[in-house]
Amino acid sequence: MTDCKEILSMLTSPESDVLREGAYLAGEAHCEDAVPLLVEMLKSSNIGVQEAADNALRMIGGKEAVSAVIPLLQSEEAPVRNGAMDILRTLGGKELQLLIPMLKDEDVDLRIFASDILGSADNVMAVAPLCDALLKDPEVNVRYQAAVSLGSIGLPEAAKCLNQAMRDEEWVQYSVIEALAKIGHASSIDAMVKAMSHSSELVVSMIIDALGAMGNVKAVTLLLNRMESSPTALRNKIVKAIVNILGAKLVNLLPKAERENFREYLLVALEDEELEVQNAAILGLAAMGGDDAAAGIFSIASKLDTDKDQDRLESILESLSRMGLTEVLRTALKGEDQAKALIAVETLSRVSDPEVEGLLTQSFWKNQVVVQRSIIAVLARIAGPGAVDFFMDILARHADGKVLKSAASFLGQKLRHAPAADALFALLDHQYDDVKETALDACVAIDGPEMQERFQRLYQGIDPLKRLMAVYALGKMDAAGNIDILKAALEDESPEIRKHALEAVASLCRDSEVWLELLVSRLLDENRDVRQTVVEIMGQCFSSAAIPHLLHALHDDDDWVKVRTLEVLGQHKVLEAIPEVVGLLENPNKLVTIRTIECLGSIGGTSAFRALLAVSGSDDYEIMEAAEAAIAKIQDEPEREI
Amino acid sequence: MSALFSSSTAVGGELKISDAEFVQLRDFIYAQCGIYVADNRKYLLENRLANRLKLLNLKNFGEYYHYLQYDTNKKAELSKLFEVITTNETSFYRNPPQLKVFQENILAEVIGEMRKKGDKRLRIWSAGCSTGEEPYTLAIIVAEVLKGELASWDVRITASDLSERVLEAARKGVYNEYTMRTTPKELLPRYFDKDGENFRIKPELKRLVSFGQLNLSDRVALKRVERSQLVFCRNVIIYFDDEMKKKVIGAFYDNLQPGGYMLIGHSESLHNITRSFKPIHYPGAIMYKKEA
Ligand SMILES: C[S@@+](CC[C@H](N)C(=O)[O-])C[C@H]1O[C@@H](n2cnc3c(N)ncnc32)[C@H](O)[C@@H]1O
Repeated sequence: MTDCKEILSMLTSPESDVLREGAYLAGEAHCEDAVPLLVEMLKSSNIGVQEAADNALRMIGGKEAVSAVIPLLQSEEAPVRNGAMDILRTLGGKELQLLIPMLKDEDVDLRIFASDILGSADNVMAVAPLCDALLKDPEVNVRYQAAVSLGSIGLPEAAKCLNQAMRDEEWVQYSVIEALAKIGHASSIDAMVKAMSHSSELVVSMIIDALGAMGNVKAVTLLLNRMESSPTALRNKIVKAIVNILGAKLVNLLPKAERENFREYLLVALEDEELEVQNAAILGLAAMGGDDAAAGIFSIASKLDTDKDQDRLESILESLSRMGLTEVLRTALKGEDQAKALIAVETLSRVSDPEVEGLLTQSFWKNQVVVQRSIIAVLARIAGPGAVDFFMDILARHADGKVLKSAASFLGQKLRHAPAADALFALLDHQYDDVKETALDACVAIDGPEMQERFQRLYQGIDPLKRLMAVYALGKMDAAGNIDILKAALEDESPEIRKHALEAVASLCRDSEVWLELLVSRLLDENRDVRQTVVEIMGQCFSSAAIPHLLHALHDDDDWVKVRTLEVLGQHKVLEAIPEVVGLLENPNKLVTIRTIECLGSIGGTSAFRALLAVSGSDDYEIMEAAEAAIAKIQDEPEREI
Repeated sequence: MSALFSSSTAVGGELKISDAEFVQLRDFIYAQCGIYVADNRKYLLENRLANRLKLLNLKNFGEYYHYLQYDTNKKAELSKLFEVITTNETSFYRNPPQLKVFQENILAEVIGEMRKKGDKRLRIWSAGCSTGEEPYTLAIIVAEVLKGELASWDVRITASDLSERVLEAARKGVYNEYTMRTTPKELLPRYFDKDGENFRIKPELKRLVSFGQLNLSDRVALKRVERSQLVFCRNVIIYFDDEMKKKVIGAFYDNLQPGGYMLIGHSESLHNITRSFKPIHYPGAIMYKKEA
């Protein structure tokens, strides 16, 4: 570690490289003695040097650094001044007592700088002095900045003085309104509405936005009163504010007499150029309903880019679906425009109306394949047994993988429709793996002796993929009944098949003992994944008969097989394994050592405890830590028989 | 065997990364190479690593984290991890407008200055060079500018990257047509030999470039790179958080000789990172100069 003295001498070097390195080290070492030299460097004409000093001062921080930087605010050079401001914004929050007096300085610039810096303070102690500046400072720019800063601090304590400042001139009003919106205090609503009558059009529109953002219901009546008399652009803003405040409860909360009027205003606002106004109008209309409104919203949705405007599209579809089965959706489904048809399907998928199923089935074959895919996905979810013929027809006639998948899972998983067996089984030869996979699960769902026979025959083939599918399916449908095939599969040349056969055999472990014997033979498998699977299954189907085999697996060549075995022994608290487990503590692979320690912690008991104490003195930090955690675990365990 | 079951729920189910595991892995990655994986890339990480976990037969991301620390194959796995979190996308003459400014204005100026001083040692650093297209492009440009003089100059392009795998490809120097798509056609016969369907960098050009592994988060290693007149670090710092960007860009500044230039990717910015360089605006490109 470099010490500060050495660093100080670097900081007086004429070489800029040395200065930069010195500054870096001073920052890393939090070397406070370097502050005066670093502040000097901030004035350097070499920007590289300046910046290194800047970074270092930020790292050092504290009173020392802040008071040394403050005088730079009076520098004649703008970059130096701005650099100082920036440092103080980061560091000043903790050193308010050094900054607050500057609000009373004679120099207007300094007062502006101080107001600005205090805005980053994130400290309630800055509020009162800033309020004082906001209300009393003779200089408009100071008052403006004080309001901005009160807004950034964002504490309700500032609401009162900001409300008062609404009477200030327009320039200050801007920042006051923004600050009030950020703070969102109820008392500000009256202050802002009152100011509307004597403010410029720009300020009025800012106030409307602010009221909308604050979301306080109190503002609604006040806003409604101004609608009639406002020009369209302003009225659209009011519409947006009201929707934002009331949300979906709009219809119930609006006075009856106002509703139809308001709906008309919403339709107008749908045409506004501002997206936010449009979005509010959509939300409002979704709540109020009407085919004309749905058509307007649909037309906006159909102009969006499905990639770029994903989020917006999603929320518009949500709104559209809340309006139910509207006319515009029927038309789009029948029309030529595929993009529109897709939007309609996507919307209908969220509409719960008994008519939807029929509408989608009828339009299926008229549409192109992209639309068909999404129609059938929806139908597979919502349709019932009445749609069997429709789906069977698709399985027979369609060629698209995605469409076939939806049809397969509907007929298989959902309806278990046995007459579909031929067609589904044929799909196991499909060119795409994902189609094969869905078809396989569909066949498994249908089950039955005939289906099993098909797979038994399939297992006799030479294609390993077919055999894998057969083992998987037979294991799922009836492992006990197919045990002979599964036994043979345990010896299959493909490790993947052996693994699946193991899993199938394991599914029997609750009702018979054959599984263990079969499993054990695979503990010597040449493939480590297969051996791991065996150990894992012994864990899931644990019985004391498995223990000798597990102890054997502790000496497997593969470290991960060891790790899995340790997990199983720990999980089942196999006390008699402790002597063998302790032997693994001396393993060249640290992972094994750590897992051994964890295993001992899980098993518990005095001899595990003693072994752990011995390793807890290890030089290796991680091993020591693992041992301590394991010991703590044993100690936390309620007393138990040993 | 096909991938039939690998992605299905038949064995093991889907691998999800928990928040705690994500934070653990993210901090590990950051400590290793300075790349900050933002929260919104969590699913990307989960998705891309799920296959690694399956292949290694690991149960969860916590085990993967252990694997990266302790397994005898951890080094190899670390490079795989780097491959997952970075993209190595690159090509010859990537961003032609920027390279045009480089060739016609910057390199011409730097070489002009050197001639005045009688200095013929030109050093260029291509940091994050990926499979080598960028440093070889720079070699071509230098050769085009120096022409017959090239032999009398001492030119070296230091090309570095985090990933050994890309460096291996770079050292081979064999490329397909696609990666040449924005390369001026007349240059091909001058600098490449035909190798079946592919193109092989000519030895005279290859000897200008020296490749080496270097992790940009290793401050000491960065200090050891020979000082250069030009630093290219394009489309690399996008992976870094601001603090790491500051450190890396600071190191390039220190590496550059006064009057030298740094070039970054066209979508990258130094805003809030450094003010030390003087940005010089050209049509279609900004060059960052370390003033003398
Ligand atoms: C997208 S490529 C850019 C290649 C080339 N510069 C270009 O612009 O075409 C980004 C490269 O940065 C490398 N990289 C990412 N993080 C790195 C680090 N910490 N240290 C060194 N190289 C890194 C990656 O390995 C990758 O090859």
